[in-house]
Amino acid sequence: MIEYLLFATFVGLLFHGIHRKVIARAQGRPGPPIWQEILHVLKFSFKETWIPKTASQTLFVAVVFVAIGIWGAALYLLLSGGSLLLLFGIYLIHKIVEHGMGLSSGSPYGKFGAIRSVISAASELPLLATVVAIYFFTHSLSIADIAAYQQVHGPLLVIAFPAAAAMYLVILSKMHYGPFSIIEAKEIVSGNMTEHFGVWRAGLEVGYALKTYVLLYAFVLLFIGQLPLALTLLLMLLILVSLSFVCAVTPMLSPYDTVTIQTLVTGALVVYIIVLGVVMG
Amino acid sequence: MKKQTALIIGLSAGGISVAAGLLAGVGYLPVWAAELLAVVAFPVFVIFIALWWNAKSGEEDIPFIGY
Repeated sequence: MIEYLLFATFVGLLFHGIHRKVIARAQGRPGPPIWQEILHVLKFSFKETWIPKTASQTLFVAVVFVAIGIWGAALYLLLSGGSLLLLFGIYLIHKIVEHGMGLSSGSPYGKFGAIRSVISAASELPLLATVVAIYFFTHSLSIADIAAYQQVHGPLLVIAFPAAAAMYLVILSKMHYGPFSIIEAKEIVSGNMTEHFGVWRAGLEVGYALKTYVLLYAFVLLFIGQLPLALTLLLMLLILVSLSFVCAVTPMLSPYDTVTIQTLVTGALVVYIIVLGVVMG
Repeated sequence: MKKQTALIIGLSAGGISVAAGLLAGVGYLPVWAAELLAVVAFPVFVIFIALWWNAKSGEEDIPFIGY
């Protein structure tokens, strides 16, 4: 059991390192080594650790445990082929984690990050539309059924490309250094993570590594299908590199622009779903 | 919290995760229950092992009692 979590954490951290490397190379910089994020977690775990006096102590610590726990649960959900709605629910809990992380902090920058996390809740809309679009084809929200459907009818990436594009935007919204990373923008220091340092930051990095692994794995499972592990990892890497290129060439958007883009994509997907409903009866 | 307490909690959580996996493997525990135990125990394992190796083990452990 724990081996899955350790493997996903390791690969997720490695993916974060590759993400930073690709962004750097695309921008003409050498960039850090790809194992930098693994070293980061180790470094943070050795740094002095305490809870700021002005922080809400229970929430400050609890969000770290919850961040790791929910994405661990999401990994098992994917492995067992559970319900897509549960994955959507976990994604919503992650929003609460982001919000709670900033609000529990005594720092005004952390609170700004928390407020921005509420604004960026618009990133959930494309995911909800994706779930509906997938259901139109598969008539099931079970991840196992969706994978089985693709074995018979071919990848949903081809059949339901707009839904795949919306899910891609959802993953992009959660990537570090991306156009939608407004909650950790540099103008608000590290946003909602500003006061989480030392062991707490190391724990958060573990949770975020699991999140990256789960979201990329979910994309492969939902839009390409159940494949051997090596091929799945290769596809996840290719998707990650494409996301990194987008992050490298796109400046960070203003909070209102992120909401506008995510809402427009959701609107386009709703039109697609309505057309599907008319065409497919 | 004492350094040894953090180690005991961290190792216990890791042990619970491993034991849950083994018990599910031989059929003594439903897979969903083993997964639930791992989901709860893994964050505890990560944080408390980090707190353990983060804690000082020299004279720093003696509480500061003022000048």
